[in-house]
Formats: sequence, C-alpha cells, structure tokens
Amino acid sequence: MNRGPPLQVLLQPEGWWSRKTGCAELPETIPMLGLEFPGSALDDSEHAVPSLGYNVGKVQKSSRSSCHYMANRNLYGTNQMLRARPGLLIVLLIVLGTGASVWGQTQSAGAGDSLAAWRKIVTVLQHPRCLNCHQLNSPLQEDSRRMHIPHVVRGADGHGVGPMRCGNCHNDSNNLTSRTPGAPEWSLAPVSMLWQGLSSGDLCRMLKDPARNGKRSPEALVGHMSSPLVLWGWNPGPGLEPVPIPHAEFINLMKVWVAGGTACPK
Amino acid sequence: MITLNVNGESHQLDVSPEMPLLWAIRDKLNLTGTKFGCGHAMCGACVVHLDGEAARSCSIMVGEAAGKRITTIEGISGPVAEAVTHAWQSLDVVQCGYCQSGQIMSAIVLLNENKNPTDEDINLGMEGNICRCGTYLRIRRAIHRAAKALA
Repeated sequence: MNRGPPLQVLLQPEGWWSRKTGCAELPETIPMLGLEFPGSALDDSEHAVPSLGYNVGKVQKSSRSSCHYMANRNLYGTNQMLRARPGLLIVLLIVLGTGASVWGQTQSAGAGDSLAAWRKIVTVLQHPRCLNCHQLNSPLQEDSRRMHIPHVVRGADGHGVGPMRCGNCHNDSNNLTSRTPGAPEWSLAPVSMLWQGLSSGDLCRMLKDPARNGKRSPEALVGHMSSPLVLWGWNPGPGLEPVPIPHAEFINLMKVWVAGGTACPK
Repeated sequence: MITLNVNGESHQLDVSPEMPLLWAIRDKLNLTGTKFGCGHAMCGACVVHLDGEAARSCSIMVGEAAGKRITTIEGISGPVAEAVTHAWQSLDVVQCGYCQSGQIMSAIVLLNENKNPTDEDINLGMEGNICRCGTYLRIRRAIHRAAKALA
C-alpha cells in the first residue's frame, strides 16, 4: 500500500534533508510512495529533483543509516498518525499545498524547481521574438527567422549605419500601416549577449553571468524582462507570433529560477 | 491639430496622429517629390530627413514626426546636398527617376556620417534604396564623386 511521504519532505526546498539531519547523504528512498532520489539533489544534473515527477515504484524498506532514522524519528511519528487517518492526510495536503502556493512558491523554490523553471524560460529566450535580435551582426526577421530585408548591420553602436539605422524604420511602437514592428530603443542586443547557436545550458550560464548580461544581478534580470523592448515580444503586432508563455507567468518562472539559485542544465 | 515643421515652415494639419507622414507630405502639403514605393519601409522611395536622420516616411506616423525638423527632397540644402545633386547631374544618374529622391536623401545622410565612404560603406548605407532601372553603378560613382568634391 502506498503511503504518503512525510509532509515536511513535500514542502521543504531541495537539500533540506541533508541540512536538517546533518547526515552526509540523502537516503536512497523514502519508504512511502517509493519516492526515489536518482542522484544527489544538490547538483544541477537533469535528474536531480524528486519534487516534480515522482517515480512511483515499489515500496521499499529504507536503506538509510541509523543517523537518518534517529534524526527524523519525529517525522515518522507524524506519519504514523497520518497513515491512520488517510482522509486527514488528503485535507492537510490540499490546505498546505494551496497555502504554500499563495504564500509564494518562489519562497520555497529549490534547485529542482529552478531547473524546471529554466526549461520553460528558455523556450521564450529561444523564440524568434527574442532570438532574432540577439545576433552577431545582422538581425533575423519574422517567425521564419530569415535574413532581415533590407540587409542591415550592427554598426558601431548596435543601431545600424548611415541611412540604415534601426530607428529610421522602426518607431517606438508597432506601425500598423507599414507593419514595421516597433518599441523604444529598437536595436540589436549587445555582442556580449549573442544567443545564436547556444545550447540551453550555455544560454543559461550566459544569462546569469554579470560579465555578459549587462552587469545584472539575478534580481535585476527579472526586472529587465519587463523593460519596454523585452515586453514587445508579447505584443509584436500583426503577422508575428507572440511569445508563447504569458508575460506574468514568464516573470513568475524567472522568480522561481532565481529563488532556486539560477540552476542551469549541463 | 498637429503641427509639422517641414523644410523650415510650420504647418497645422487636421489629421490623425497615426497617418503615415508620407501621406501628409504628399496629400496635405503637396510636396510630391517624396514617392510611395512599397509602403513597408523596404524600397527607400519615401526617405526624408527627420532631425537630420534618414526616415522612411511611409513608416513614420505624423504624431511621431511632430516637433521634429522634417526635410524633404524639395528642401535639401547645404554643401553635402549640393555636392550630391551636382554629382547626380554630372554623371546623368537618373533614368526613370522614381527612386532618386530617396536615393539622394539617403546619400546625403551617408556622406554626413562618412566623408569618404568605401564601396562596402556605400553598399551597407544604400542597401535600403532599390532602383528598378538598375542605376546602382552610377549612384555609387556619384557618391564617390560627391565625397571627392567635399574633401
């Protein structure tokens, strides 16, 4: 029979087990839902996290050392009570889970949550609305990501050259007559923010590197995602596909990513 | 009412601020030297100067141009403009002429920024001005000649 994991384990951030118990290693299993930790929860490997996708398997006896058992015997007392009253367990799980979300899921985000958030964040950053201007010398255009027509180049300041500067055609807002998109400070991203060809992991590491992200802290990165030019990605005008994730949700993902330590895939 | 400063003169226009500047220039002010080519900022026939910078008037709204110094082909002046127009005439650059207002306006901005452009500079700077008659070689020679005259 499957039994619920200790409530504390469900709600605590990644790495809690080792910090709480002072025991050196995570247990291989928690003897409830057959919850398994396939690897250390403290590294940034792709399979680190148990909290998003439990691998429900056989109920196994704990393989933990006596250190873990003695440090957490109170948890087992709680579990015994809850096992005797399964309905109570369900109600408590719902109430506490909802409360945790309302209180701020970012507060309890761990490395696993951070990594999961990044996997969604990267779909925005690699979307044409963003990637088209994070290019080396010439922007790409439209959802097809073809070369910009007419051909334009970065120039000395990232805003073009001579009579072919970005602002010569692109205004501070979308032009519905000519269908030229527009936003304040329309231009290529700085060369240090070249994203073309980067893997998810490399893009992640670039994004959080102050030397390559405009000297931004993780918190400042979150704020940057609401700047006017970035916001344009969600309002690109007719004929262009907006960023697939709603902006509010994207900001929340950014906060989760930051709160969990800006985890990056390898 | 929107006030536009065009070629040094102020004009009060009762138009929507979202009207393309090209419409206002041609239809309301009868300055028809600036041409409509594509309406999508891709051909360059509509290039004017906005505070000295090239601007594609089909893609600039009247509301955005208000308060700025607008110069059309009819109002160009100064040593660079004279050198360019003289070069255009001496080399007989123009064929049908439809694109040439935009070509000249762009060339003036190019030479204002770069007094001695290379062929590559000219390629990049004039990339957005299309000529159906194919006078590109003469345009290039005219720009070089104007640069030489300004040196």
